[in-house]
Order: sequence, then C-alpha cells, then structure tokens
Amino acid sequence: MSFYQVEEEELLVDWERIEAGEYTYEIEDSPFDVGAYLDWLPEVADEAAERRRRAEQAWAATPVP
Amino acid sequence: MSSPIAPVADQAPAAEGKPTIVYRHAGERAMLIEYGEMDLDLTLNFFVLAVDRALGERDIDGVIETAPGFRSILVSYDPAEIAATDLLEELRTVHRELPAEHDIEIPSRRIRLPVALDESTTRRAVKRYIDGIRPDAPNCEGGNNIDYIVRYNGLSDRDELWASVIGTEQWNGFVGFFPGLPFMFPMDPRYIVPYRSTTRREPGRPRERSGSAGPASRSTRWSPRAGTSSSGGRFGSSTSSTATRASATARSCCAPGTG
Repeated sequence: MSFYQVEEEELLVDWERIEAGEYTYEIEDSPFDVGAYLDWLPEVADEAAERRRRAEQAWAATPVP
Repeated sequence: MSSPIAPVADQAPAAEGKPTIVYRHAGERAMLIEYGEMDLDLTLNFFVLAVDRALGERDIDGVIETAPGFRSILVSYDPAEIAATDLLEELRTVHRELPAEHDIEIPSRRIRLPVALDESTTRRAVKRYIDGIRPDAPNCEGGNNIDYIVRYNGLSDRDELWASVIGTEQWNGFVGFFPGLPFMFPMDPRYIVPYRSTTRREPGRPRERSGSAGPASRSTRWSPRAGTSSSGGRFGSSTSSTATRASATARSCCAPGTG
C-alpha cells in the first residue's frame, strides 16, 4: 500500500465517486519476493538506526501529557 | 472428568532458515501457532502469511478456519473431525514443507491511495475532543496532535512527518479488531513513525470519520468506518477514504499481504 498526497477538495470528490460506484482503485498484482526485500534492508540499516536514535532522544525529551 | 493437557503442544527451535515455533492449545477447538520472538519483525509476518496460504492449499479435513495475526496464526478445528494430535502432525508437515524465509514469495497486490493530510474533518474531531473532553490536553496543542507526533519523533517539521507517511510502501500485516481494519507496517525502516500511547487523546474515544489514518505502535492503521476511535493518535489525515471504503466494501482489497 502506498499513499500519494492530495488536497482535501480532491479527496471529497473521490468520496463522491466512491459513493456513486464510479471510483477506480489503483491496484496491481505484485508478488512479493521476501528474499529481495531482506537483501535490501542492510542498504538502509545505517539511516534507519540514525532515525531511530534521533526518535529515542526526542521521545525521552518530550513531556508525557 | 477430562484430564489436563499441557497448553504448549509442541515447540521447535529456529532451523533451516525458519523461525522458532510454538504450538499452543487454544481451548478445545483451536490451536495457536507462534513464530519467533515477541518482536515486530516483518519477516515473521511474511512467514505467517506463507503458512496461512499453505494451510489453505492443504485443505485439512476438520479445519474450520485460520486467522493470521502478525507473528501467530490461530487454527480453528472441529475436534469431532480431527483430533488435536492429528492436527498437530498436519501443522508440523506444513512447517516442514515450507521454504526458508528468504525463499518465500507471497502473492500480493499493490494499492495506491490518495491521502489528505491535516484535513478539516480530523481537525474538527480534535476540536470536539478539546472542547468537550480535555481542554488542557498538551498533546493537542494548537488544535491538533500532529505537532506532538513531530516532536516526540525528533522530526524537523510536519513536512518530514508527511514525507515519512508517503515515502514508504506499507505492508498490510493483518486485519483485526473488526472486519476491514488493516494494520500497515512501513516497509522502509527509515520511515517508521512509532506510536506513543500519550499521543492518544485520553480519556474518552474521540469520534472520527471513516478513512482516518493514524499511528498504532509501529504501524499505521485506518478506520474503515466512522465511529469512535480505538486509539486517538492521528496524522490528521484522511485516506479518504478510498482506502477506507476499499476495506469496508471490498475486504479482499485489504487482505493481509497487500503491500
């Protein structure tokens, strides 16, 4: 699943088309290759770790309501 | 009087590229199979979905249905048709015949959906919460809880949050709590936006519109229909729906394994 950003007005038009049964969903068959995904993960591991470190610091510094 | 049985029917260590496995009796009519450690490891979910598919293809007499979760699968059966010991043997065979995690291919579909971020209906829902339930909620400063999510994730601004929501494909790991509620996990670990329990607007459950999306643990979840929120965290977004309606009116649209 992926998202693309639209303005609210566009979304409301989509809603109307859904209600009218006129909306066409963007769906494609795409077999998922687990091995290829697992092989790709190390390529972004450093960036992911840095992001996680930044989030953990912010988490600790943000007051709990 | 029935004799007691051990809740754990069997277990096995990780081997041959497959995760650890624990078979648990779940009452007299179901068996719960758990894989790996208690961790949000997508690889375990891939394996669960492969098991679910294999069980469906095997069409075991006496099995009523399977319910895959994130790292476990519940197999309901009719004990008048298949004994627990025979079911266990069938399940062991399925596990034995599955390929290693790395070699699994999952039939999947890609769905692309529009999303409006920080849109008016979600802002109104937050306002109702502030006005009617908790005026001093610090995680709703400025009439939204988007900025709170930005802050506790250490993001520079809202744009970085939106880039995280949009920048990765989301894997629909399971559908739960009620029909059509998908739990989607970022496939790119650089874009995980964790949920913080304090993100939610407590007490009370704010009413939200159909199609709202928000963080839930490390996943994104959608509300397929309008109603009270199961967790108050929000991206202030609405997938309009499309998404939502997809899950509400065409369940297969959001079947687990949808990437």
